[in-house]
Amino acid sequence: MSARVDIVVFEIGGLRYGADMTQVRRIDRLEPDASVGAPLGKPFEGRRALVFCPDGDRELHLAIDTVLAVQSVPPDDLRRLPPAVGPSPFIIGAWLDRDAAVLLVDLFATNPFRPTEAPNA
Amino acid sequence: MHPTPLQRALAEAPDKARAQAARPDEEFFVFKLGELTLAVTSGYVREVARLTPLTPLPRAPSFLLGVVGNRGQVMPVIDLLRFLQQGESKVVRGARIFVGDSNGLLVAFLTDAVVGLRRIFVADKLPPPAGGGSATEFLMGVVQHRELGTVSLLDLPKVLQSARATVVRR
Repeated sequence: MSARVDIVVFEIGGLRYGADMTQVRRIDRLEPDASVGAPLGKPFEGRRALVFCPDGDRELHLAIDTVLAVQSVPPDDLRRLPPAVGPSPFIIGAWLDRDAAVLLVDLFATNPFRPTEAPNA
Repeated sequence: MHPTPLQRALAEAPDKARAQAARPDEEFFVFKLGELTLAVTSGYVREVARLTPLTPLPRAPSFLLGVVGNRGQVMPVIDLLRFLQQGESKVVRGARIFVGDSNGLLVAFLTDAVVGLRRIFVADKLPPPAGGGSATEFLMGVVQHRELGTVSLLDLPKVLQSARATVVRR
């Protein structure tokens, strides 16, 4: 049996999202200078932030309304997004919480400062 | 002994109604959406279900309302009114959806009401009205149905193909 995955479940603008717990360094007050913007839509308040560190030094903030829980999820409840939903750089799948699909976010992929891939020589 | 008129008639009787044999028909799944009565070939409809909690997708086109969990699968939900540029549906919890299946692509479509299955004579199909806007591109035709009035026959594989292409392009 595969190990469960710890997911931070949070809310932005009334919608639930999940992110891999291992990507979250801490939950803190939002520092606007470090904000990645609103890739998941605008939060109602957005005073709190998930703080993550995609490249080892610079901390980035994703503004959220609230953290709801840290949920230990069995892999059987995880799903890739169907092809008709289209590719998304940061929505990587969904957690089926009974009938509700909670979108799973790759926090590192929300980094607007990511270097773009160099074209092949 | 000579056969009676009834026995002669029975010997020549057809196996099924001549009118039916001469008028091939197709089965359609019929539903209502806004002012429209729409129908899709029943073979493309996997099931009818109730709308479960809808999760909107960030940065999705407006016709892609979000995703739902359905029988352990994550499934996109499309508003055909928006897709066909005919207005927009009201999303009501518990509304009826039908799951369309074309080439393994499963998509749920919002409806206002499900009418059910109806057989439509192939000969009764009329071409889509000219000047009907972009929606006609996705119609196989229309029929004047005695019970339902004007029914627009939707080309579901074309809808799915186009919706997917639009989503992927973004």
